[in-house]
Amino acid sequence: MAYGYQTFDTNGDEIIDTSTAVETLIKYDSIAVTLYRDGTFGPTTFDYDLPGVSSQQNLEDDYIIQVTNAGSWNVFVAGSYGQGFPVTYQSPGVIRFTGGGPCFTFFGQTTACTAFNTDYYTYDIYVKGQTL
Amino acid sequence: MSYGIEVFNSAGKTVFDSTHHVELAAHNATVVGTDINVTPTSSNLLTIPDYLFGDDQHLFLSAGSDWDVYTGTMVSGGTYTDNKQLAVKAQAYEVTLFGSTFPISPQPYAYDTDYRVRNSSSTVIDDLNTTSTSSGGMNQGPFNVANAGNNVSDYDNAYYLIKTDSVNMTSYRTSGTTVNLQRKDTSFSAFPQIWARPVSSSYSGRFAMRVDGRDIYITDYTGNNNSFEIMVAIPAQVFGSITSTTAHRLTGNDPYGLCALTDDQQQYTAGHPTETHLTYDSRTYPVKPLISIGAEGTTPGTNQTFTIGSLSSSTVKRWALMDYTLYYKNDPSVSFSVWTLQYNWTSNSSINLLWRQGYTDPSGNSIFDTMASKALFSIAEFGDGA
Repeated sequence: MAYGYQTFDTNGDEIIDTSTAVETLIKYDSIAVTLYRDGTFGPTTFDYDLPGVSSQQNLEDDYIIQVTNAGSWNVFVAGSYGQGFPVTYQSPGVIRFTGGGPCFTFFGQTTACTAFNTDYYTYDIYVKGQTL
Repeated sequence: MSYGIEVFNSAGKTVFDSTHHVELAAHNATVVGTDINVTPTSSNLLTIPDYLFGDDQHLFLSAGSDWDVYTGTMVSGGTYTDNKQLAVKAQAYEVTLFGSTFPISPQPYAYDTDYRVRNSSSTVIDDLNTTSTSSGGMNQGPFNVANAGNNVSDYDNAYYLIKTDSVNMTSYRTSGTTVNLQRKDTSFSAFPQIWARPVSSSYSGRFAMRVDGRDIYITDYTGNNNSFEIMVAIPAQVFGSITSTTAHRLTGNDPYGLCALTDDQQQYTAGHPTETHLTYDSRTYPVKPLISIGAEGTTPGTNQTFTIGSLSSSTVKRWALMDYTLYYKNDPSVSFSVWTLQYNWTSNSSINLLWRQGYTDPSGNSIFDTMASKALFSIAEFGDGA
């Protein structure tokens, strides 16, 4: 290699060579998002700056938005309301978490929302192949 | 970034820096694939080591309120049957729900959560036993409740039995003794990524992953008991918290190399001291994704094929990200049958993703679909020798 960073394991096998287009998977951030069910009382969407995201397809193929407070280790989902807010591409470098929705009584009947009707999720965000 | 190191690849993309945490391999193993609808045995299971879930999970929050030791007359069913048991007084209070007011007396601690017991001078006595059955001494009670608990005063002489792991508690069973209960901080837990590949270079077939607690196993749809290599990757911050006594530096455990670190003001839970955290370590293999796709099975009962991308021919082993093969959708036409996304491995350079019938779940747990949107499926390398 003419430039860059290169490492080998103890057997002399290459691990990484930055003079190529090698990519790594990087945990970019951990965030908490709280959104209201009714926009009268507070925001129902949250826009987040995510470096390099360029389309919905790009978001799905090059990023992991993982819910971390929905119960167990094996919980992921962008787009599943109930297990996390739907996450969609909004504009270059920006994604949107979308909350909002109906409110229910303890017995499942719809009722008017109040300021106490919020949803809260935490996320780990992973990116690959971006300039950070 | 305002400090530290940053290394780019030939396209100007960040490979690692001193701010963000690279996903690093920290554990590897080999398991035998499990046939579809067969209960896995020990050779099929890999228990993900506790330390891969992060050291913050072992931190304790501030102690809760004091619990007085009960020294009154023990009643039937509340009798000490073990010297590790301690009776603590119930702490009842009134709540109002739907217009009615009634007393409640919360249990001294929760099931399935790690607690420990301390004395009034904050000396740790022992962990509470949260693994034995209720008959073995989990929080039993309340005992000695008067009038079926209509008023808070009905709990004046009520008590629960708690049990510690190993300490003899008889010396604490005296009037005036107080203990308090301290709960582990569960606000941060790492999420290990599981990567897998067939051991045999001639393997051809479908496989996916399932999880049972902290055990994982590979469902091998060939039914041929093939073996699979597993590589567990975690963010560098978690990798850096692993003690030096574990063999987690997979490139050979050399005592030298290059590490990237954050500044010394980082913390991930409120109870953790500020400190530097690792963001990259040359002494293990980083995840190097080659191709990836966001995919979601559309309709149970209808086959789908997803092209992840093209791979060049190589002798370097490729690995498939298994985490999201866990997700399923119910097939309403077949009882307890679910469909999942499965890697279809033809060779080291020919791997795609198929939406197929996954398994049947007679437990009925699968009445709830867990796949509700696209998730990431990826093929990666970890290094020429990994």
